[in-house]
Amino acid sequence: MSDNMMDDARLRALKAMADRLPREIEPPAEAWDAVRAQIERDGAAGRAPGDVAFWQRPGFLIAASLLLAAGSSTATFLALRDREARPGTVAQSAGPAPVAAAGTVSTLAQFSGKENDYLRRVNGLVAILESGNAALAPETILKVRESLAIIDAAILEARAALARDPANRELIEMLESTYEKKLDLLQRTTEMARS
Amino acid sequence: MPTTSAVLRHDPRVHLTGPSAHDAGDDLVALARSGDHAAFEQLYIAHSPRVFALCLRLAGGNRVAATALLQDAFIAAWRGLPRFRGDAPFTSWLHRLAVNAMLQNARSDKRRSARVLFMDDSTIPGAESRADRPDISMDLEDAIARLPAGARTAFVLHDIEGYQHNEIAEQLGVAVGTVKAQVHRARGLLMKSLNR
Repeated sequence: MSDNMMDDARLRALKAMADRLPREIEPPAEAWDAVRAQIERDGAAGRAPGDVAFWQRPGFLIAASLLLAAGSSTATFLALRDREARPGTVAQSAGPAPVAAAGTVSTLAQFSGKENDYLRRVNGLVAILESGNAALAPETILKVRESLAIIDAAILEARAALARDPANRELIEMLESTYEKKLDLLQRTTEMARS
Repeated sequence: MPTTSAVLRHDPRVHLTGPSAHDAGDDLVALARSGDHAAFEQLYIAHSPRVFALCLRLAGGNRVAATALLQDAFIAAWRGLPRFRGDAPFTSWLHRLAVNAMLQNARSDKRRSARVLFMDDSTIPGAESRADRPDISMDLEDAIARLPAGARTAFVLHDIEGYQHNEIAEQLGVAVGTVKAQVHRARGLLMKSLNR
């Protein structure tokens, strides 16, 4: 047998051995614990929902609440920076503003009272859904969560834009319209869960 | 009808066996992408043995390092789920994240980086005679573990995981020729080790 043939035979044997290696090996049982702990920390930091608050996208909701309730300069800065990097995203995400939706409200400061009312109503509905007494199909839960994520993203983006331009009436109308959509979704979901 | 909480705890789609396994996996990914921890845990249960096997080999048989890579990969997966569009299978994406985790660890540690870039054709130290080790698979695992890191990575990805040279080159950020050379080098070292 030539050297080349011998090498070929040895290579085939090596490949056959490699093919027989197990493709799955159980990781240490405790490995998941660290992953879970980290993603829960991410959730607390606003990345993802926790196991209990499954109805929301707390990543958006927590950040939105912080923005709305405390006017967090850090969150506003980050959102603003994000908007600067992606010009035009507010209009794309939130859609057209409703006609005369904001009434006499013409500045962000004047809108803050309305925002607090929206937040209170949203939190009340979310609390009902999180109470465990509501019943919905998994597919419905998924759809609602996806819709909430889109709405919350629009709220954040509108807020980010308003942080730069607090007197922009169109943006205020857009924000109010988005809150209305969120309330409507949550109200309809709550009714569906109770039926 | 179950409560909403119970739906998440007992979601029938978390079971990955049966004819609808692919769809169930897709649904789990969608749920996890929306932030569902329980769905992501099911994905971990389904995919972690496969990913851990890769991590263990990339880490040269070091279970502690392999576990860290596995955890890094799944944390990266969790954070990257919104960007996962399903163009490639979820498991392939996880594999890529595991390799990225290995590369990032190597870059952040000069000593490990030096090992990854090590190109010297040194012999495999400490290889024992196959006659003393009846388990051929373990022999090969041990021999792979003793390969220089660059050759080991190329061999594991190409000859065990089945990636193409160009795919490996793209992910590692090296030339295709370099990957081919490393695979060739790994095979040579392994054959030499296993026939001692």
